[in-house]
Amino acid sequence: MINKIKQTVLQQNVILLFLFLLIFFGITKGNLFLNSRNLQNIARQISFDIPLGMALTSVLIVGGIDLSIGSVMSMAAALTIRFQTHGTYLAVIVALLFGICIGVINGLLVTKGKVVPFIATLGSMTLVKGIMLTYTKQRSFAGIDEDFTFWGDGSLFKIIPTPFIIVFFVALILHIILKYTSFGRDIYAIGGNSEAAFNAGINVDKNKIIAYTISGFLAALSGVLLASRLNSSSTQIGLDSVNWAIASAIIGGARMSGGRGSIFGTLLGVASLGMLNNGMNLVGIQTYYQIGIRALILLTVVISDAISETRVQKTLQLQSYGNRI
Amino acid sequence: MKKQSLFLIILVFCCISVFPAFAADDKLDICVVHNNADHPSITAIVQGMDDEAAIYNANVTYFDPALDPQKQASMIEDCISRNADVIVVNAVDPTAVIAPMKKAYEAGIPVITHNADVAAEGKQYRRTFVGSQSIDQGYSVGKMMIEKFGNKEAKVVIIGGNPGQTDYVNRVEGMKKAWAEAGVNYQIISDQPANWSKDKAMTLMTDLLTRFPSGIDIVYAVDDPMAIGVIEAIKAAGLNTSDIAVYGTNGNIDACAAIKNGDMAGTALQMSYLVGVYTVRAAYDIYKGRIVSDEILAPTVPITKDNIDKWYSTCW
Amino acid sequence: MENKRHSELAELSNTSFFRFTKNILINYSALIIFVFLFVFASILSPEFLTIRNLLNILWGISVLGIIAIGQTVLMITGNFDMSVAYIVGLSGITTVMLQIHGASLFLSVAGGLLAGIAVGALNGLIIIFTNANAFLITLGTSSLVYSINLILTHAKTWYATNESFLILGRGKFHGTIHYSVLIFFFMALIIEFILRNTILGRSLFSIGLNIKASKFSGIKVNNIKFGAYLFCGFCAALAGLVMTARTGSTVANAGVGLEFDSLIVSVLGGTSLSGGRGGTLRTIVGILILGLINNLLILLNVQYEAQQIAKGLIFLIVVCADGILDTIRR
Repeated sequence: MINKIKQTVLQQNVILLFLFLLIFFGITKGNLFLNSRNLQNIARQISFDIPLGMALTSVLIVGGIDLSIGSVMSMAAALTIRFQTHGTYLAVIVALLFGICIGVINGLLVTKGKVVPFIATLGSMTLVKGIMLTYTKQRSFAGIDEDFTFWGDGSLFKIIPTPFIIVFFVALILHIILKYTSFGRDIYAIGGNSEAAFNAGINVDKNKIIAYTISGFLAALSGVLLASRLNSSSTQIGLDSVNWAIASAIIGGARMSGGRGSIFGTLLGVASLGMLNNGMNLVGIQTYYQIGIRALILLTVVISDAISETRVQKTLQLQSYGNRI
Repeated sequence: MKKQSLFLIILVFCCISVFPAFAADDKLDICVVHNNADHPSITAIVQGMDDEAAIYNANVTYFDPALDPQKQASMIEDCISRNADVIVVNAVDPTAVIAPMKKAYEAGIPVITHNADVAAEGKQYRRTFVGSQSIDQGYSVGKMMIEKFGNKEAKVVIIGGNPGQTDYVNRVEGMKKAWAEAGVNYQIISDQPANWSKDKAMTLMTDLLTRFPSGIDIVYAVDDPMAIGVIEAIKAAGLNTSDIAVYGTNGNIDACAAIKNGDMAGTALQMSYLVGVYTVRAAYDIYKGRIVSDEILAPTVPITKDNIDKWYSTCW
Repeated sequence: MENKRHSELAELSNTSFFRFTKNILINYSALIIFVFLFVFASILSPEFLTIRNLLNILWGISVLGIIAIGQTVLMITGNFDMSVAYIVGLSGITTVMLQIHGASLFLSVAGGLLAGIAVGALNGLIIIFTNANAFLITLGTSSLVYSINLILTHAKTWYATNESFLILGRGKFHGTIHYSVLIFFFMALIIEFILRNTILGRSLFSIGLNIKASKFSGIKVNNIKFGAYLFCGFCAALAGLVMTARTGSTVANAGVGLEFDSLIVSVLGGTSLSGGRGGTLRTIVGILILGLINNLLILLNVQYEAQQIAKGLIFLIVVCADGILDTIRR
């Protein structure tokens, strides 16, 4: 009961943010912002950030972090395009397998290698970047299969962007996994208190590895969709993706200390940032100032979240004192 | 329960407001998508565009994807959905920009590329390219080298920008093209990126001087700030700047000053302000239905000590 | 009361000089790897083992080193600062702009340092008062400072106008070692001394290990944390000044990437991200490793892609070795 209240309070901030942005831009730039074409653009654009946000969510829940998602994304895009000569869908499978491999490696580094996740994934990020640059010889490549672009660039029923539908389904599946399977329960427990989880009989290592594997898979998925959307691979993809993926996950309710995070929250977080960027462009704010405004909004959300969290903690503390009396 | 009802409300909200945007007035609406606003050449381009737009009474809006090809594609699509009259693109990645440009083409909105052009397969989707091709910039630097070194066997070091980035790749290619045409026998002994950073270029050059004690003849730093960094490294090592020919590209004031006093061998002047001006003029012409040429090249001027006085005032 | 605090804190870190030296060497893996790499480099490259090259390596890492000192102190308390990258730019920009407007050398330098300290203060205040996540808050302030940098510079390069200022980054002590290197080493040594031999130092470790216990022992946790953030901002600002003096100019994104690099060298050296363990002498080892690797890869003319792979592998090997050695010790 108390946990439910906590969850809703934490999630409320991202819902508030989402609504605020929607209403603000809806009013100030109504016909531009709320028209179907623009909303489609936003939906398509956030489709590539959503898997990254979800990737971070899964590792944050388990108390870790994954900095390698940007590099994995760009390598997956490169594999998708360059392997097309051997078959488009084989290329996709190879790319996704690559992401899974890196995820497993990250997981092993963190569990068996006992390396701090920040450092382990920093190392794998550098490594994968090097692999990508070697593989692509620092060039970009054009895709050869026009039909393949449907997945990243097309729209279902001419309205809903295909990548959005794909990531939405993936989000749904992930949400179900986190909420209704024992794996989901286990990783929340591990994030909350890994020793207690271990003592309760949970296989901490195995679950962590799975969480990192999911992260690697999702990063690769984002790369595949991106390659489809651009019909090319580029060495400039994914260079700056990590920070905002972390921000979306935490805005959505995850904690760096672990044990918390929600797919729905992350979705709203990514959508909010997407709306913010789109809206600022529509209003015509110069890019120098956009960077600052984005920063201020991030700070506001994080600070208000932290303050409400402290309030909840204090309430719980008082309650527990009250129960003892 | 709360979450679900909110979602429903939002969905309904969206469905209600489904009417397209429209361009309200007769003003020329130019939608510009940069490659990266954090660069002095872009500041100069924007200045040129704003100044010229005032004359034509045009409305110019700028978007900045900060070197992210996906964001650039989305911004181009934003321009399409805003029914811009002309879209201007400075390609982050020449291949990745083809797909969104094609969309603009199919939507009937003319596209101009400036500063960095789309790849060959995509040229059909744009009306004109305004600027100087980075391959031509490299070419003119290559020719300057040939003028100075002729048929000697020179050892050349390349100091590049971000790995794999178009300007870096193209400028080096242009330089090699000039060499091939003249049939010279220069040898590239090192080609390393320095991320457009003066500080990194300094450290890199310092190490390269250690690596090649028997001498480096030519250094091509693919932009002027890095070239200045190279010169600082040479000075710091106690060497004479006249012993190593340092070339850059851009036409920065500091580079021009260095060329004047003999520290720097040459640079390829990019007239970014003019690129901005010509872009707006081309946009206006297209808007008026006039035919424009396939390329509108702002001059790339190779500047050496011989002609620096003539061009000094245009350095930026 | 004072005595009680002393004895409690004494258990948290070492006191006598003998244990002072032992404490440095406890992080064997980093030191061993450094020595190994040094020998390896000397064999592979004839140019490596020259005085000139070694001094150049030091000069090249002095900017990052100064930032890393501040970051290490902050990491010991269990926090970190991702905004240092753009503080480097801000301090340089402030100093240069002041110089352009005719300010004296002293005033311009003071202005630049104050700008960095101000950002550090902002970070500290927000994180302490709201208990918010350090990564996100400093990410936010990082973007904020970047925005300010861009607005101030219009994305252009700005050149320092005061000749004497350039000595900070380019001057050499009696023509041998650069002043910036000396500044880095002196700072690292002084901070290390403070960390090991003063109550302030021990309080920093204590806060990193266990905030609640520190509060109960009477340590003014918030004040010290705030001070740590101020110091980190100061270090980033000083590094920014050194970089500006070295290159002669400043840009909005001058320090990009240095925030991650400063974390990397601190961890490489043996400072823990979760706090309570580490030191600036270790950071010296960490940054020497990084500087050595970068230098060697260029001396061997290794392709850029292969450099990334090599660095990623070396990095992982170092931290894995550290983790495994740690487990063996227990």
